[in-house]
Amino acid sequence: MSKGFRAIIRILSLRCGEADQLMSDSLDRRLSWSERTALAGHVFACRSCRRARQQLQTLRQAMRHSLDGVETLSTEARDRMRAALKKSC
Amino acid sequence: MARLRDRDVAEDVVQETFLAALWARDRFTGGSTERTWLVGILKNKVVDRIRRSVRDRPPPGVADHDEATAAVFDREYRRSTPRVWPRDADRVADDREFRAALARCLDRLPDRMGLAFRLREADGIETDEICNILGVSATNLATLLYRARARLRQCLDRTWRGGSGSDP
Repeated sequence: MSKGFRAIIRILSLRCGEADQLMSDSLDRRLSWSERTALAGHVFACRSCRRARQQLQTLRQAMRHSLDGVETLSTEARDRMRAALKKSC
Repeated sequence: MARLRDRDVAEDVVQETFLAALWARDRFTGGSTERTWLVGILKNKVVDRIRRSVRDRPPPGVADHDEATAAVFDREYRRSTPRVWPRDADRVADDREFRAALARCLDRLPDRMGLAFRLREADGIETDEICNILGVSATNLATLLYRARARLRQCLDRTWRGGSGSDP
């Protein structure tokens, strides 16, 4: 069976659940040629998966900004650290 | 703080970082800013702490929560249709309400799942290193990350009402 034919079969048989898993995987590893082709074909045809892909991109973007805000040390912790640093100088 | 989930532990790690920096100050070449150098040491210390705390826990399954619950979620999630989010990812990422909703949704994730997701997405750590830190296989990590992303998207679809866009 040729590579192209296998890809077509994969595109036609790929379900949204698998596409979703592949979209997540694609953020962590390079997909194989057939996975990439099948996913691109599925996403092109599936509105739900296009939305999901956009959500994943936004989620990654948001996480790359710091979400944690600025935490500050308590006065006691500051004093403790200052003392520890002085001691080890 | 978000990685360690304990203020006392976080403060200990900050102190260890300063002490380590003090002892290693001769090795600071000035190739980066002091801040970048300190943050690098801090990240290593945080990872060491996580690795130790994971080692002390009982051996995990795919995730540290009930698999049956996860399976029910997966089935329901796959039947749902995602909402449309605005196209401009940068703007959404900067939106205060979105960030607050995301922080709440992150807190709802099971510990190991949330940690895997934060290490990957906020810290940009490669998957093989996260597998080492958490003591899980690559397949298990892929499942953890997939479920974390799925739960976060669904949680945000339910709780974040800011803006809507057109279908991509």
